[in-house]
Amino acid sequence: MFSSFFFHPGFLAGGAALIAAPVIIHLINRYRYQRVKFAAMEFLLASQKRNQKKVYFEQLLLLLMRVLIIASIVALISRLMIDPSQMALFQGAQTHHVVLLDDSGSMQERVGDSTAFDEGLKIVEKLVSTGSVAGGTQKFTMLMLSNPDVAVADFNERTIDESLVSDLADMVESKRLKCSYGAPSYSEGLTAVRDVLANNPTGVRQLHLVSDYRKSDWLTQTAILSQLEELSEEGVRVNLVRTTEAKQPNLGIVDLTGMLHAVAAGVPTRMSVIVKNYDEAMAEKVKITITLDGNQLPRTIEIPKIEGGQSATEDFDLVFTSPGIHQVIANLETDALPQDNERFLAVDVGNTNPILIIDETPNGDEGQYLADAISAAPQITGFTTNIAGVDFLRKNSLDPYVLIYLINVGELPEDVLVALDEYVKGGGGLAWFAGEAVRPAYYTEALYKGGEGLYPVPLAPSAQELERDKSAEPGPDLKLANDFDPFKVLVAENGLLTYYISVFKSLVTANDWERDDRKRADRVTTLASLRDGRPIMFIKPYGKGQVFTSLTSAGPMLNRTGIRWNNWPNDPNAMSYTIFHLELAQHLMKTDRRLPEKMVGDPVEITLDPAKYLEEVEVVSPTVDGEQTVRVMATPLATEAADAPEVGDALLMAKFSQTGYPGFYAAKLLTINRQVENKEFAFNAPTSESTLTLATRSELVKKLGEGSSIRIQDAGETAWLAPQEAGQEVRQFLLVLLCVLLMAEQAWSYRLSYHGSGAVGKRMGVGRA
Amino acid sequence: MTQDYKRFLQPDALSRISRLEIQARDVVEGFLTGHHRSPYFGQSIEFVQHREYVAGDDTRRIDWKAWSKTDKYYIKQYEEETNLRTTILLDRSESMQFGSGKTSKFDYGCSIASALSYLLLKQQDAVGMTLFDEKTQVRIPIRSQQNHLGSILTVLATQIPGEKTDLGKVLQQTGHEHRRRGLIVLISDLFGPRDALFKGLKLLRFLGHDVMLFQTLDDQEIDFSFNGTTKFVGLEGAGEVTCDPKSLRVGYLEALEKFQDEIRRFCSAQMVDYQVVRTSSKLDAVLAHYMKHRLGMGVKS
Repeated sequence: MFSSFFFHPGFLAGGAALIAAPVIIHLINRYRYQRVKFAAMEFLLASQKRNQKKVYFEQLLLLLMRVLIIASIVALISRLMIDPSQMALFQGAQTHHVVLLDDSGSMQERVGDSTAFDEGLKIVEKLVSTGSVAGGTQKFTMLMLSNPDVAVADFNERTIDESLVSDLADMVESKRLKCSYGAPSYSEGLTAVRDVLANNPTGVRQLHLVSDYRKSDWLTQTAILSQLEELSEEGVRVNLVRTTEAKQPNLGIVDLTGMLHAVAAGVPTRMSVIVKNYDEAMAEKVKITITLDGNQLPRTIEIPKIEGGQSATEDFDLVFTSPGIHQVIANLETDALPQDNERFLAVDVGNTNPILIIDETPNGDEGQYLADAISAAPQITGFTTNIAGVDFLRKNSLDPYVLIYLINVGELPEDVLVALDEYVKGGGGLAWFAGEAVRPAYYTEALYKGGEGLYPVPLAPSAQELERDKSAEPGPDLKLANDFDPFKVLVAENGLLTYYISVFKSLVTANDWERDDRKRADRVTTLASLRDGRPIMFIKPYGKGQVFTSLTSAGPMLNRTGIRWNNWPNDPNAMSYTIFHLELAQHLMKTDRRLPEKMVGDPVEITLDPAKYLEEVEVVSPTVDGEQTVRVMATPLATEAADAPEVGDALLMAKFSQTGYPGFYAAKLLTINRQVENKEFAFNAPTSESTLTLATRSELVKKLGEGSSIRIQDAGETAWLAPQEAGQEVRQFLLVLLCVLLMAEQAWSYRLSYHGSGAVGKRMGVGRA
Repeated sequence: MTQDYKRFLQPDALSRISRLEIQARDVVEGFLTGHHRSPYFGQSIEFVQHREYVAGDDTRRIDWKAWSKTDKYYIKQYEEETNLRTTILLDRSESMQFGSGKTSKFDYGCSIASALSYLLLKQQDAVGMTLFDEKTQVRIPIRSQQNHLGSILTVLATQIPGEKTDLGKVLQQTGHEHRRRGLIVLISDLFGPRDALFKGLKLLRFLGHDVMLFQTLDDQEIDFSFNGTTKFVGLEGAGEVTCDPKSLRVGYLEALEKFQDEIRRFCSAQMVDYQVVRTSSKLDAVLAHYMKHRLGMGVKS
């Protein structure tokens, strides 16, 4: 019954027999005495009569001490394993080792011929191998940080024995345990550990957190240490096991991007690659190669130098010769951490990006100004424009357009409003520009709709002219927000590009409308205001799309009296007009044209309209061994989900979660007509894993506090693996107990035993009975 | 036999005794001589009576004239001028056999008896001796001749203790045999029934004897410093006990002290001189005590 509490239970039977020895010896000693012929027996007999119970107790105590001495020796030899503080012996418990192995991206750091992750696996193997000596008295659970809720393979509370050692070795040898590329949460990992240990609250519980202990995680995230301290306070012995002490330089590509909004076939696209130097020393002549659709470009990009801890951006032009999906890869030369030396980008290149301009100006001038600004050179901008009236919205699908301008529109029919509403909620961009035809009352009532409609602000009954400032330096009429991306070029150089823009007339927001964005808190952001403080430009998120609103006109807009609304399109000094509209178009345009960039571990989620697509989706994903194809069945989308589309009642969701490897993931959708539509996703490793600076032992100790019972094991240190954790304290306790018992027994037996002086015996016939 | 004498009268003891002799003589002679007529019979000019000869009597004192008439040996007794008639009662029971050191209680008792005899005879006092256990085993008549010491030592050297004690009986017998007042010196461990002992002592005091009590005890009997498990086998059939002596020591000492207190109180009441003697102590201490007692006798007279 108690054999599970001993490392060497085979000694127990013999030990139990030995416990009888003191009893026998004690009984023998009772008959081993000196014999004295004595005269004063009268007094001795009287004393014996009085002290009989005391004598009996003394003898019994001596016997008990001798039995305990033998029992202690047997317990020591048999390696008794109990936790004296918890008296686990009586709770039928064993030692439970839970290994939480850090498989975050940084663990792929090369350490000599190995990696930090492989070093961690070696430690786990040693731990298991050492534990197997204990004869099945220890249990083992292994969790990976990237997926802590599920134990690795069948290593869940498994008894540590030879078969476990063999299974683990097989798994390591066959490379079935792989390091991830992501940045998993330590907090979630420790929560999972707590759950595992909570299932078995008795016995000795040990957590071995095998990690590289990077400074960015362990010295900044106090929550991790708090969780560890909590575990420790709950009686869990926490071992922080370091896998590497090496300090190595590392360069990583943190971004690969470009002017992709308007990318079009044959149009040179300005691309940027950003490289960060994670070392303290300067890196020189950093070479980057670019691969487009599997073909490495002949030109190598070289960054002359990157200061320690700094990033450098290098631009280059890339021409996508054909429409469709293209794959771009930027590569750095090999260094300590390979995963951040590659950066993937998928680009869906179209022929052009069409923009619809609805212009209700009688002669169509306003729209023409706009079209000239946006699509004068489609081979450069990638935009094409189509100018039409409101009826076009009723008769044509809006899906092909990435952006719709509504210029000087007086009223919109209800069905057009519905179509526009669906279009913007689905991700489309919408830009309102004012004009003479705009009826403020209608806009406020039918389009603003108390803040729920497509128009972001309520309007005052009539437009208002801006009084001219006749001073010598009147200042700009238009003040643009600095933090709105499309305005960043315009506000540069103290707003020189917009200084000469004159706004003569504009609509006015309603008097009772709160102009302060923070007080109003209706998600409408004021982007620009006039010299007199009137807000004039706004943006508002609407569904998945965005709505931009200008209270002045898009073009010069002459009124009946010949007064222009502004001079932006045609004033020679107002060259910013084209820039403004190109930037605005790129910002507002329908985002589903941009191929999503994802981090490893994020799921691929594709929403399908069952009216158009079949529910089966084929996903081609990269793996270490090459590509693999997985068929995913789409399931009905839960409408209560916060991010669920608001259109359609029976949308399907195809979800693919095995995205742990960086690279390109292709999804093939089948239409109901059996036509194949491709979607492409680029998955990259998170840059947070690229900082390889390690927290030193002293830093960790300082963070944990000097009095912490959490132990830190340095890389390469193996002494702690000796199979002593479970029984160590017991052995020390037993050794102390044994010493005390031996001393007490010696003193007591000396007091009670015969130390033959001989004189009495010789003279008076003293002898052995 | 000469060797056996030395068992009880060691040279150093004799030397000390010789020194004491001067003091003793001063005490005895200075205190008693010429002050009164001895009430006891002794060897002097004035004849008193005849007595039948017993073994040990000096053959020179046989009245040959009376033998010629009666064909029996008679001793002529004269009015004695000696100062003191002392009877030494020496316990030779089995309990006196005990001794944790080189000397048993009996051996030590013999030494006391020998030394006292030597001292008394040196002072021209008469001394006799009775060795007893449950009854009188040997009786040595009271004599004052110097060669009487040899008779005493010869008897002592041949004694082997070995029977039970009956102090009461022996004391009563002594009382009956020694009607003439004198000094009775009892050398014993006194282990036995207290009532009988007290009864005997009372009788002796009633008969006018001065009584000195030397309770001879071994160091272990007084200190009880045995170690280790011990089986105590009682002498004189007093039973057996197997025990750890240390655990019983306190109780033992209390019982012994109670016993001695009882004797001490009795002796104090009966004006019996009581002295506990360790077998490891020097003999001169005993003799010094005796001399003190003799001075005390003078005061009492």
